[in-house]
Amino acid sequence: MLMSVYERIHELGMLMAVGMNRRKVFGMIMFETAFLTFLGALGGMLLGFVTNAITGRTGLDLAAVGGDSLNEFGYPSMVFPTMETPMYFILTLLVVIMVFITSIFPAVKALKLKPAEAVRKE
Amino acid sequence: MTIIKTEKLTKVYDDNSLPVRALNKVDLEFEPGEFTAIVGPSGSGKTTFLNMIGGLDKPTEGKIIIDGTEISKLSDSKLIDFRLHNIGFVFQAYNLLPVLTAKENVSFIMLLQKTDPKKMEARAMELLKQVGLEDKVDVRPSKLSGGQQQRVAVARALASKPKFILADEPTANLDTESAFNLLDIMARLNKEENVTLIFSTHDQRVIERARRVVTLVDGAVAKDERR
Ligand SMILES: Nc1ncnc2c1ncn2[C@@H]1O[C@H](COP(=O)(O)OP(=O)(O)O)[C@@H](O)[C@H]1O
Ligand SMILES: [Mg+2]
Repeated sequence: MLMSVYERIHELGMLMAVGMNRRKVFGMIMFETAFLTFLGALGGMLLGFVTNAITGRTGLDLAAVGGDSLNEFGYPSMVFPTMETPMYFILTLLVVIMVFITSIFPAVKALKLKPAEAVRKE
Repeated sequence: MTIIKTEKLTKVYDDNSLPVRALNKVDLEFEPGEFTAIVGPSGSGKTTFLNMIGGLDKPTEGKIIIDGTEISKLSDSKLIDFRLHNIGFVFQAYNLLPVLTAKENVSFIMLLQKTDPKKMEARAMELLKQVGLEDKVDVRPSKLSGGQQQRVAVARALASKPKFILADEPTANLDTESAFNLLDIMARLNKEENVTLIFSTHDQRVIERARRVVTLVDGAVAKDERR
């Protein structure tokens, strides 16, 4: 992932070198970020909701992995996971952080670089 | 008529502890239609010189005048616009956007210039044909060889109808055959379309193709031959 962040800086640097102005670069990043965040958050929530709905109904049979050992400690081996609403927000936040690292961070880096530095081959 | 003129062009890199004088009072002039190779050993200042006349970095001292405009005096944002409309670039690497096809890579520069989309498409096809890639228009860079990628970069550099094209070691990552092929295309564009080209190289094989050879040594012009 670091690699892609790194490549992203060079890509944006190339765009600025050939004549894309800061406003356009910024606009493009914002659009991309909004789009990715929206998709990511939507996908994450849907996935969370579906697994939650299924496992919440059928239960997870922990006996399959832990045998009866859980019973011995006084826990039932069938658990019914439910995700609290705040969990969704945490997941969404994680998505936003990911998008930030892969898209906004390189953009800020590239905007600060001199174009000559961004297209330098290392 | 002079299209590029440098006067006592000097660049000192001093962000590190030891200042480096990469260019030292370089006076050069380039005419429209010239095909020039900037040669010299590694570290002689070729990249620095191209970055300066390409408006990618600013000189420490001296002047750069392009078609009557002293670009060393332009603000950063004016300079970006100046580059877009006046200069075509071919870099050693990181030329193309991996998510775009060859045609789209050539087109986006015209998009930045707000070209009519219908003309844009036709021009991108025409340029890719000129560099011999008419059968690769819808292919992404990862599916192209290094030589083909550089040819797309040349087509892209031409797309904006620049006053001149700068190429910093365009053949550095290419095998001999692809290197010659790229230079042949550049030589043809220069001869037939009167495109002004300046490229740097330390590759003896491709210097022959140029019609003018400027040799840099330690940031100064050591030789300037026309043939
Ligand atoms: N960003 C930079 N910071 C410090 N020194 C640099 C930088 N870029 C180039 N140099 C130095 O300037 C000199 C000329 O470099 P360069 O223009 O890249 O030469 P060439 O392209 O001919 O190999 C070299 O000594 C190099 O180390
Ligand atoms: Mg160099």
